[in-house]
Amino acid sequence: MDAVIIWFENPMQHDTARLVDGLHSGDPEILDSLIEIYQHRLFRYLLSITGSRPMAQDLFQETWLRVLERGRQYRSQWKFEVWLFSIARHLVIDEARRKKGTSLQELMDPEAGTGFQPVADSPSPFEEMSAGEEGQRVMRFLSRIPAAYREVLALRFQDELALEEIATIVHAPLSTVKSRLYRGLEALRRLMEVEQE
Amino acid sequence: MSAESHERAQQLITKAQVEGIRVDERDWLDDHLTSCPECATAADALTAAVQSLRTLSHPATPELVRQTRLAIRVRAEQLRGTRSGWTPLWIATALSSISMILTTSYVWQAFGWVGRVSHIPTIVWQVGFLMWWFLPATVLAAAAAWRNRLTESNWGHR
Repeated sequence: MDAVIIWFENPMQHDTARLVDGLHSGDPEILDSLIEIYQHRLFRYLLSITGSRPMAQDLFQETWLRVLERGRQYRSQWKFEVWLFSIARHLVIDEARRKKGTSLQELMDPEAGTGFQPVADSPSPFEEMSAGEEGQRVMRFLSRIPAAYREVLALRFQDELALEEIATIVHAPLSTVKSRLYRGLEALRRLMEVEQE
Repeated sequence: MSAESHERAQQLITKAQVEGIRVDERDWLDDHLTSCPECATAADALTAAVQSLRTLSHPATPELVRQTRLAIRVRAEQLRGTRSGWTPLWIATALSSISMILTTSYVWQAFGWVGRVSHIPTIVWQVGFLMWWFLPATVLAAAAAWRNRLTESNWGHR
């Protein structure tokens, strides 16, 4: 187990074949190691899209189960976190459709509103998500911008993914990803300006 | 300072965060920000927002991770059971197929001989032969259906 974690922690010694073998054979040890590495990033991503802690928790578990079940489909040329986030995203969309009858377009259409809304009274999961006062302020703003923008902002600035990787996850052209990032940052900046005034 | 300059500065401030800017664009922006407090404030605000995004953290709780790992173990066990359960069926299918191919002509002759000796109408022993021919496939299909029902039932009780 320790050896597996060390292997994952050292990017220079990644043995992709081992990861692929582990996923293809449904090896729980490999899954344990992957959970160890990606747990916080995945949970943060789910929370940033859904804005709901219970939903993020359900989907967190469901995502890892899906990784186990679909492990045979994983290919060595794929970056694992991109595949992981793609699975998580599909589950979020399925859940939204199931609960609200919302279509993919409606859910991720910036013009259609903010998508998932934080439903808690106070503090919202977004506010809890932040450590300090400044963080709480930013998360309050984030909760007011469309889910499609929140998603790319999280992937870009929290998970530090490349624009091309984000495009793969959200199944959108690069230009759309850039556009959402620009608009998301612009929306964030304006909200901050309004508060300052 | 022209409105175009401010607009360009605002665009470059955002572009720098999203995809990066060229060296000449960076130089121009730095010059502009030095002489434009308004744009400098906007740049600082955006940098602060992005910085806040980068430092936000909300870890998955240990309990959630523990439950997830447990669920993974249970599911992995079920998957292993399901996959290994199919192995005998696949082997049986392969063996019966080979056996059928090798013995069909002999069995056909045997059915014909029994038909003639017993004075059974040709159509009857031929139907009998067909039933014999399809018997292994029918049994295997029934076994597969039974396994599927069993698996679904197990999932229903999960």
